[in-house]
Amino acid sequence: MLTHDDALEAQIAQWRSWLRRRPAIHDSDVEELEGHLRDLVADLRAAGLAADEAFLVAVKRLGDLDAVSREFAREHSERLWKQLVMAKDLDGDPLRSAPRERTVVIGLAAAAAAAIKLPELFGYPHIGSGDGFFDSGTFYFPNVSFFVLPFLAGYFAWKRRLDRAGCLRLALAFAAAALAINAFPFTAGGHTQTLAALHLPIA
Amino acid sequence: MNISKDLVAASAAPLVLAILADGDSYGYAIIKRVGELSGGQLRWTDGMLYPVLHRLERLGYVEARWAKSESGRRRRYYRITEAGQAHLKTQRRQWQVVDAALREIWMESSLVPAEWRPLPRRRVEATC
Repeated sequence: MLTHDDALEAQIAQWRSWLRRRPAIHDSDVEELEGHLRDLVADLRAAGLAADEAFLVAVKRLGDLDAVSREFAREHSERLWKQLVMAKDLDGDPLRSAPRERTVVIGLAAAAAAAIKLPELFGYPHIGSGDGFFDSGTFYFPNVSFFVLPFLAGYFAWKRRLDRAGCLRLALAFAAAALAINAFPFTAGGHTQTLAALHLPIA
Repeated sequence: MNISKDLVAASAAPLVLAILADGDSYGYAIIKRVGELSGGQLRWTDGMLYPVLHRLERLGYVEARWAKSESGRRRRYYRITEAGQAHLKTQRRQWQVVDAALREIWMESSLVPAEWRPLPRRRVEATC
């Protein structure tokens, strides 16, 4: 069984990891805020509160993390550009996640390149042959967005740390769209098909 | 009583500098001191103090250093600089002007019972 102090440490660790995800708040700021939180918890416990009660009150006093992080961002506006180019890892070191990100990006790009060649294996005419890539009536035309968007979506899902249910929903949405565009009895080269193919990526 | 956000924001820097002028301190102790000084009326969201401290540091009014606390954890201590002392002096003069003006109008206004009010100036001039 967990003691009160273990539970408190776990709660503080969770709070700390939430704080670390904010790009405007640096590790030294996290340490400073955590020290404040611990001092506050200690005083509240000395005043008679239980560990979990003290933690809740202390977190509330420190304030809404969004608002606090906004204030940090305003004061340290020079840090904001990092939010745009670097993903801040949970470990708190922005540089450490960069090589991993490069691997993921290259891997997804290679997967996209392989995917566009894949239909040839199943007997569809390849891109350079008589039917141009964008000629309607080919397999590629209505499906062109499926060679790009799933990989882009995969990148964002990875970057935003999407959970399993979220990934599943995303995959289902793609599958449903792919099914609809290929199963619907369009007249080849008809306006409806052109319209649908053009609007699919937007949807 | 809830003190308005603007007033809290405006008074934060002079309060922090004045507290540090009494001696080096750290975030949590500064918040506690503000609470004592205002009889608990001036409540900040604790997390908001740190951006204020970092701004004062950037402006060169305070210096910060990490040192071990009694508990063994590292703590960031702040000290007021000479520039901070000078800034505090001008801030004090500004607040005194505002405070004096408000006192003046509130003493003259009808919200104050007549016997508390100073004599109207015109009558004083007339008797001279």
